[in-house]
Amino acid sequence: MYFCHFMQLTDNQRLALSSSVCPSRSNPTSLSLSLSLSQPIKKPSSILCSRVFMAHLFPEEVLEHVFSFIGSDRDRNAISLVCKSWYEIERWCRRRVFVGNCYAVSPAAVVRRFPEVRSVELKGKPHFADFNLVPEGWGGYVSPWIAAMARAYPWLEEIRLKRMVVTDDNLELIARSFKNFKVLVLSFCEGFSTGGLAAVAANCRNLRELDLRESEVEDMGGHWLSHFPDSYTSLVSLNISCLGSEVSFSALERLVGRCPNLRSLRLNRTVPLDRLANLLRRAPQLAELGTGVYSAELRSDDFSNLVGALAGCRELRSLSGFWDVVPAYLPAVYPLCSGLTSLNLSYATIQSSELTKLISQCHRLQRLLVLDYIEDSGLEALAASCKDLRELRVFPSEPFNREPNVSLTEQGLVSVSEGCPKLQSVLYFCRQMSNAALVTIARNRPNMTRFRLCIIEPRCPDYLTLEPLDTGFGAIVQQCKDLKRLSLSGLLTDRVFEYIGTYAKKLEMLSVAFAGDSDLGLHHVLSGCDSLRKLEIRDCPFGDKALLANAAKLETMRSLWMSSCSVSFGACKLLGQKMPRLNVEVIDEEGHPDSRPESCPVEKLYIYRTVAGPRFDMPDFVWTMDEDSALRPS
Amino acid sequence: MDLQLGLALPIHHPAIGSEPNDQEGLHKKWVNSKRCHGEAFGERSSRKSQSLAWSGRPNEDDDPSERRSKLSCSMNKFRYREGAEGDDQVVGWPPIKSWRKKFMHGLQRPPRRDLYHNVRPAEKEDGKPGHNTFVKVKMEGVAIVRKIDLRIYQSYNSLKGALIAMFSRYNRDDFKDHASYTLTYQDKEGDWLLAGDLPWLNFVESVRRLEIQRSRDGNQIRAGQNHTMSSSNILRPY
Repeated sequence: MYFCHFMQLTDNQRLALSSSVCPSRSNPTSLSLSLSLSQPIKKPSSILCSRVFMAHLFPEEVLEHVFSFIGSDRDRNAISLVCKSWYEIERWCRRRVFVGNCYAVSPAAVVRRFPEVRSVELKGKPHFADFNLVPEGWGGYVSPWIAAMARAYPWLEEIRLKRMVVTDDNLELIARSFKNFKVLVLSFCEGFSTGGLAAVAANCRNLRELDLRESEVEDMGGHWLSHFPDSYTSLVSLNISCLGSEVSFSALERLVGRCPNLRSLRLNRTVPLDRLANLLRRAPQLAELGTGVYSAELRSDDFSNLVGALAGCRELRSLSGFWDVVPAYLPAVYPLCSGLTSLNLSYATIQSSELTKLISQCHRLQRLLVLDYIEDSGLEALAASCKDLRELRVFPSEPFNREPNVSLTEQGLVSVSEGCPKLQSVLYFCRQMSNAALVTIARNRPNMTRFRLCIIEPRCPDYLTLEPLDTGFGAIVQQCKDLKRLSLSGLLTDRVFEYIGTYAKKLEMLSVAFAGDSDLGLHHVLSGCDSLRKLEIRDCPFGDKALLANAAKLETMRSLWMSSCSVSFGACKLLGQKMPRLNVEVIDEEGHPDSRPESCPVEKLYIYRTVAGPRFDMPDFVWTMDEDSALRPS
Repeated sequence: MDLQLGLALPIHHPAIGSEPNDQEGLHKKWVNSKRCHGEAFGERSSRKSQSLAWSGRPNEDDDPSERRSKLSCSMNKFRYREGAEGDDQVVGWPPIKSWRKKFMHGLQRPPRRDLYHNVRPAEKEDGKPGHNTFVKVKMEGVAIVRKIDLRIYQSYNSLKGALIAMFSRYNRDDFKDHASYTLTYQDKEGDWLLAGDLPWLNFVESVRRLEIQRSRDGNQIRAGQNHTMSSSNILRPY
């Protein structure tokens, strides 16, 4: 009884708290998980009750120790909802915080609640920013966060940022403020230069990981690398693949040579192939390597030197890079193939036959990124040789051409789905698809959790029957019970959304473009997908009614993006007015939407839940629909 | 007929064609079940009386043609942006990360930005990007256009051999006899010429497109004017 009482008590708190810090929804079952660390629960209710009572008898230190074994954000959130004392204990021993939207909570609130954090992960812009749909200057500035953390967390060790604007000043503050700083990961970030990186290199003596992923870094030359002091030896992972200019090669060689724990090294395109051997000889312990440019005028002894150096790296599991690859030099990596689990050839413009030769030697491959040059025949070979494959991404080499330049069809994906029993994550760009193929893929791989299909021509029907692809995608959501992420493309009617709403109960992120025929489509998704957290839609005829009718659903989600849809400015206002915990932001570069009739559709709409209120850093093309704006006469 | 959007993408009409029965049933049920909420959404004029139908469902009774025209106005306006990424490309479609696009199109670095106060003005671009040696090549009678890197070939012969091998899988013809194929190219000025006259390196410098043809009738190939016509038909500019 008491336990039930706890649960009731916490239902209200759950919404507030889970939206405040970890936007993932609390899962009631995770409570039992966290309480059953020592032994499995056979009769959950009775045992659980007695345990909760027992737990009250423990001193705080004991509970704190127990909590320290619980890593998952959801479980930690669930713990903090049990009672006030657990909330207190938990907040003092929380070391990692993940904020899925930097505008969903204020830095001050996080710092106040979690005083002892060591690791922070933040995300900024909407995902569609990757495809230029979010105007330049939209926001996602990390400055207020770094400022708050610099004051509150002198012992902060890790910062991971995604799609945020980071300035050199921010990097300098990081370098100065945190005494034991270890990990800096900047994915898809922008706004800083190699000058800021130099500050990090010079000051963070314990830095283990510096990962710039696909950030846009203003390049001030390669000398920033020489700012790592000679006494610095703690580097474990370095990813500078996004940098444009030449790095100081001698500094890089020295750095690599003096860091015995270096496991991951991803170079940029300017590192020449003939220097790679020297680097590798200094770091034979590498597990992950991103090569620089993979072409050069190699003399035969240079080549055999490279072969020797690569062969010396016996622990290599992951290879990437291969910019401008010359196929003749690929055999140098053949000896490594049998150990590889991850291979990124998505910048390697080589033809199917060479790709096939390489891939069919990688029997342990789990993850492959490749251009469509691989063609159906290469994917068939992949299916035959790589039985451990879990993730496949096939990118288009000529995305803006109407005509196919390679023979890559739905058949390639069908082959892989047949041959690779562990396949669970797919990103596939192609030019033709059929319902039959999708049904086959769904039947073959019910274990799929991420399925992103991009048929390049918008609204492209089943090329065999000229029907919409509803049935095919319907089969995917019906068969793949654990599907978490789905991207749709091709000709689709409202029907596919009915399938999605009916079956995709675990779907967390859905991307939709050029699909549907009415509000009904959006309504099916919002009312049916219980686990949906992120929904992004472009160029679909979804409008006010579906959005307004499901307004409450939006509070359970992290965000909704809609661009070139039919949501009217009036509906945005109404939504902002009625839902104070949502930030409803209209993005319009043509001027204030007030200057047009309320019934006129807005250009872009971004809605997210927040406990921080409207943001303060909106540029002049973003308008937030709060109560004031709704009441203002237009 | 339908209102067509800019790219001549057909809008799918659910009403047209054979809608399965269960879909129709569902649709009706759905519309009926929400009539009671219709007014809450229907009247935009009296904003005071508006309220959100929290538990309701959207209605479907507004005029579809009105909806479509609203839609088309919003879509036409924003979909195409001049010079964004090609002539008639949809902004942000296909969904390729901008970073990947830059790399795939041979740019050495992301564009510089001076948006942020602490970023000093860009230094002079060092290292010229170098001549792009990727060219498209088409074989007569084969639907697929290929793109190849000329740097990996050393001579006309090796190029021709490689092209014939590359295209041979798409064609049942006998490809053994290299001499029966003719290589033509489009140079910087856009003229179509017979390959082989220039020294190899100059050729690599000036070639923009390639085409390989079966010389059933050698004279036809050599008739410069005719050929220009025929290849421009085959190689439509995108």
